[in-house]
Amino acid sequence: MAISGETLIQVRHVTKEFSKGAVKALDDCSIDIAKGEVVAIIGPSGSGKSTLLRCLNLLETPTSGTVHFHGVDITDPKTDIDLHRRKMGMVFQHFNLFPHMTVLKNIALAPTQLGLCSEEEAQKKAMALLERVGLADKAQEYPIRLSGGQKQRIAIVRALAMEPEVMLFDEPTSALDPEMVGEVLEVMKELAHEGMTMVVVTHEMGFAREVGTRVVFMDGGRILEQNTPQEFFAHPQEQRTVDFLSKVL
Amino acid sequence: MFDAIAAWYAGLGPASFFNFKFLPKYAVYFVHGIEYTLLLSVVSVLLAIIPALLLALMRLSKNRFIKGISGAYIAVFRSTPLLVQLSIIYFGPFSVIRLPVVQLFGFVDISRFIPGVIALALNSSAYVAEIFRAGILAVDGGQMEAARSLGLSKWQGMKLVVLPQAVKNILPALANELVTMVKESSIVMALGMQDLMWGAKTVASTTYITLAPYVLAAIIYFCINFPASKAIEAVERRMRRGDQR
Amino acid sequence: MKNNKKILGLALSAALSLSLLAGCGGGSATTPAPAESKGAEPAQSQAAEPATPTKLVFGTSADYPPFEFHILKDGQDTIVGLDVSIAYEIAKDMGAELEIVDMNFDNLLTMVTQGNLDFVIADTESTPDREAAADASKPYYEDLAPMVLVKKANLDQYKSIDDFTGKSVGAQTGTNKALIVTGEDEETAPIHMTGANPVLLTTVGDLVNQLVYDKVDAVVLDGAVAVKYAQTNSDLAVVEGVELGSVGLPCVWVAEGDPKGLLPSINATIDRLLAEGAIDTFMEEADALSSEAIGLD
Repeated sequence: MAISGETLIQVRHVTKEFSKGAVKALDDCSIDIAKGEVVAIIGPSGSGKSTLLRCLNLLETPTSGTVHFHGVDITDPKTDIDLHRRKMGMVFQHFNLFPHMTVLKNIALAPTQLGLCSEEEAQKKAMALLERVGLADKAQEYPIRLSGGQKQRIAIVRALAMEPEVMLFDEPTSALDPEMVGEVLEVMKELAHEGMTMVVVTHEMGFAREVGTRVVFMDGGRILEQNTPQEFFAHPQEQRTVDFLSKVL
Repeated sequence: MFDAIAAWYAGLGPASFFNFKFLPKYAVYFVHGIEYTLLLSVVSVLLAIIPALLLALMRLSKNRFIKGISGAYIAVFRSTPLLVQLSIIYFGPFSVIRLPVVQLFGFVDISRFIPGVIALALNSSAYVAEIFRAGILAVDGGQMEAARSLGLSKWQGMKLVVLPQAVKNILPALANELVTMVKESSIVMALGMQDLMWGAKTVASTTYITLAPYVLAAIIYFCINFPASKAIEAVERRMRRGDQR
Repeated sequence: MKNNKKILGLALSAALSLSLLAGCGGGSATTPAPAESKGAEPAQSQAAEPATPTKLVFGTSADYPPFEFHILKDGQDTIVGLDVSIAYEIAKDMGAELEIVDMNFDNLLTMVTQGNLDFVIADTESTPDREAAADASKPYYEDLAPMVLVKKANLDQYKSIDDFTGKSVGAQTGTNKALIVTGEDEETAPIHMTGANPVLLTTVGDLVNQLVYDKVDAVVLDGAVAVKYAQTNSDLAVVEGVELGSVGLPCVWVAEGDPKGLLPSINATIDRLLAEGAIDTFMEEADALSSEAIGLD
């Protein structure tokens, strides 16, 4: 692996069951995410990739196993998860912008409410970030007036406003019209080039190959194989990986 | 023609539906009754809002004990008649708590108004809690997740993100609860609270005109509630249009 | 019917005791709470020293002219009637201020046993059941015997009490008139109907409505009240020749055991008013006020 930085997130033997054990979404998953990595998680739908991602910032609480962030066990109920989530930005498939607030308010809300900076500073920073994604003119609009691609770029900016150390993307382009996918991937690519640590659940094989530093393949709640994109796509090891790739490529 | 109507009206017996001869002499009972009923309903529903919000949040809690308390409260108040609740509160706690007889606005006796308002508010909070719960649940779950993923606490997410959106679902239902309360509150007459129904009963017993005062009360209730419900519907329609922009 | 009332009262009290668990002395029907803040000397029996309260809370159900009813006096809602006049005399003799509490008839005895009312006057006759729940003064008025009100058109159908067999007959809930209709309590109402379908409602006005609109065939009312309705509504008439007998005389009611020691003074007031002939004067005044209230001009 090209990245030799320190381990940022350490997942150990995480299992997640739903409906009192009737459904096993994750089955003994372990993975390390190092600083600066861009990890693309791929796999068929229902394979548990979104659940794994959501376990990283504890939007899902693992049934068993541990998740360490910066060496702190965030699955320990005594840990203040809110403090750690500030450093783990998340972008959702359906954007989840706050419809009752302007774009600017959406972005400035968390930094100001959490007392990280003044309202004025937060708005200044929000404007700078909007400038970067080319949406400064939308600052005073409400989300309802924006296209899907614009919404997702703003959702990314909203997460970035917290100055996270890692960004988690949960199928960020799946809900977009095809012509809008590019603008969102462009922003993500830029982020990756700036050295942001990213974990991306995606169906965009092009993105995984081009931008990813590592590709993780999941099926049936397990991590089946992982490798550099070049190796992964050229020489898949598992039969199920081969089957999956033959369908999507 | 006109004479015929006048003759018909003059000939109406004391138990006729339309014998409004008690007006204008006894109009004051109806005017005070309307004021009392509106005051009682508005204050009760307003007082119900804070406990109802608490109950709704408790109901949505993951803690089974907290959830159970709220569920039990809502179940008890929704499954027993308002008159029984009113009687228990009036003859129970308020037979120990002696309130001074103070007249508000000259006709609202505080020592009865307060027990009535508290009973109605306790009852209403059970219904309003369900309105709040439904309103909160109608907000997309992704909203709370987005708030939490930014590091906001559960309460911050509720207060800043979910509740402001739930208000839109809640307000029309809350207004409807007020309309319901205007009607339901007529039951306080049983404890001598001087609402619109009480005014009708008093005029009926004093004048021996035994039916028309109730007919008038019904007309008044209708004239308050029907336009109010229509107005709520109109506001609701406009809010929905706003959504589809 | 009265038994039902008592059961309801006890049920309410029990529910209350449960809900408050403890610290609710006023909840039990048999152990009235002492009325703090009323200035009454707590007394344990009728033999106690006469009380000297500064304020008396008087309960009534003011929908029953001429005994107690609302009128507009100079535009102000005022409760008047025979019972109210007597209440004022009782307060005057004790040197106390009078506060009137108006509520449904069937709640009055519950309120007085709980100690929320000092005394009740609501044309309430003495009966064994009521005596068990509260204490009565001497009777203050020789009421007309109860009478049956019917539609004038049907008057000739009713010659004797047996003619009400199979008929729907109304009476006010919780009153002795109800016992005449139901025949539930032979001790209190030795003359009663047999085989009538009782229709029991809380207000007299509603009973009269039922009669006018043919929902009941007859209504049993206090004599004075029945006569008044027959006078004001030409469709109605009082049945002649059906003697229902007296079902007890109206009294003033206080909590059981007279914990506040009010009865001696109340009885003295009644004696004085009877001796002065004031009761009859009050009744005439009340009748005049009632007629004036009906006169709608």
